[in-house]
Formats: sequence, C-alpha cells, structure tokens
Amino acid sequence: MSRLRGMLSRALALFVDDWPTTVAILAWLLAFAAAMPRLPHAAAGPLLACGLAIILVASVAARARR
Amino acid sequence: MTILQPLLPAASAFLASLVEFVEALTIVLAVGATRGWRPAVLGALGGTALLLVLVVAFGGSLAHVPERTLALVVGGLLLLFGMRWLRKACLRATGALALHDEGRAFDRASDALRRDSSTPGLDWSGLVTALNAVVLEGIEVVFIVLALGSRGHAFAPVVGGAATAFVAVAALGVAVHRPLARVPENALKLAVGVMLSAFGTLWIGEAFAVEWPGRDLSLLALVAGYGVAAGLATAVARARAGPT
Repeated sequence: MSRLRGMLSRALALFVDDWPTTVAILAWLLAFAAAMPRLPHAAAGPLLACGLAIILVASVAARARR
Repeated sequence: MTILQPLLPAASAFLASLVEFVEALTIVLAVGATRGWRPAVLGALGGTALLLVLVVAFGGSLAHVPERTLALVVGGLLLLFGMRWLRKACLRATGALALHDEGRAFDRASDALRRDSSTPGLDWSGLVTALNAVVLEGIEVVFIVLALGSRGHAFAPVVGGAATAFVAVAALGVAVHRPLARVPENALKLAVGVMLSAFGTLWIGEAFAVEWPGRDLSLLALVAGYGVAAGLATAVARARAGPT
C-alpha cells in the first residue's frame, strides 16, 4: 500500500511542483473553457496563452520573494 | 503538415531526453566506479528495457483514444509538465533554487554506495541503484515521448529524438567515464519547458475549439511568447529577490 502511494506521489510530482501554480493553471483553463463560446475567434488563442504566461511570471516572482 | 510538425516534437524529445539521461548516467557511473561495471551496466540495461516496455504498452493504447479527448488530456498534462520545468529553470536562473550539480550528485551517490556493504556474487544493491536511476529519470522521457508522439503521427520522429539522445549520452559516458558536468542543463530545461508549454497550450486550445491561425505558425508564436515570458519571469524574480 505504501509502495503504491509512493508511486502515485512520484507520478503526481511529474506534473505538480507547486500547488498554488497548478491550481491557478487549472482555474484559468476552466474559466477559459466557460468563456470560450463568447470570445471572438481571433482573440481566444492569444488570450489563453497570455493568461498562462501571466501565471508563470507571477508564480516565479512569488517563489523568488520567499 | 509542414516540416515543423515532426521536427519540433523530435527536437523537444531529444533535448528533454538529453537532460534526463545525463542525470541517470551520473548515478550509473557512480555505481560503476564504486561497485563495479557489471551491476551498473545490467541495472542500466534493465531500466532501459522497462522504459521501452512502458512506451510500447501505452503508445499502442493511445492510438484508440478519440482525438479531442487526447488533445484535452495530453495537452493539459503537457502544459502542467512544461510549466513545471519552465518555472524551475527560471528559479534556478535567478538563484532562488540551486542549480543541479552532476559532480556533487556523483559524489553523493558514490559515498552512499561505499557505505553500503557488498555481498558475494552479483551486487544487487548496485544493480538496483542503477536500475532505479534509469527508471526514475527515464519516466519523464517516457511521458514526453508518449505525449508528443500521440498526436500528428509524430511517434517515429519523437522516439528517434529520444533514442539519439540515449545513444549520445551512453557514448559520451563510455568515452569519458565521469559525470557530464559541463552540459548546460538549466538552459536545456528552459528550452524544453518553453517547447512543451507551447505544445500543451496549442493542444488544449484545440480541445476547447480554439482556431489557431496557421497552426504551425501559432506554435512558433507560442514558443516565442513563452520564451519572452520566461525571460520576464526571471528578470522580475531577480528584481523582487533584491541584491544578493
């Protein structure tokens, strides 16, 4: 059981390094998916990428200040 | 499909595999230097075989997943994976996290292996240490190969990129017999983080029905955008951290 838990936590660690960053990414994806039908076609892709880039910058800046 | 379609995934797989195999090689070399080359080579070969089994087993099953589901799941995981590498590389560039030091990793592993008493016959402790190192570092390569190879019929070039990195690192390891401390790991991790985040964003956007203009051109724009964001993140973090 503990070996299985160890394997699962290792698998999770492949994708999650910092929980607040992961939660922010997932929240942004959910918000984007919900807003997608109302977004102008040309703006949707750049908006998705800009939100993710802002999360990256904010996450690195917050960790560096700690 | 343009030349970018197989080229960028293959280059991403090559660079990511290079980083991971260099880290695995450090431990395999430590096993070889302290416990003998037989357990080191057998452990490394066993680990490589295990990784190949994972690629073949999961690679085949991904072909049956519907395209949109694949874009959502693989794109999402690739995005989280790429952003993790990118964030870490930015923090290492600012000094907020220590750089990975292959020389120190080699010394640490060698010390631990020397303290561990050897048994007569095949050195199982050395073999398991080498096998563990290859599997643990290689599991990230397996994920990247499966994720990048799963879309756009890119499986062969992606496997080719990873295999080329494996052969290059193994050949260098045989030639120099010491850790490859001069490989610019953080710069490579940053480049891979940028590329994987770009692929993840492109694919998850497709899952949400985003119409990317000129698909491959959008991929290049995303790579450039994440490169700029990483540079900005590093600069902001340096300014926030203050003078050291």
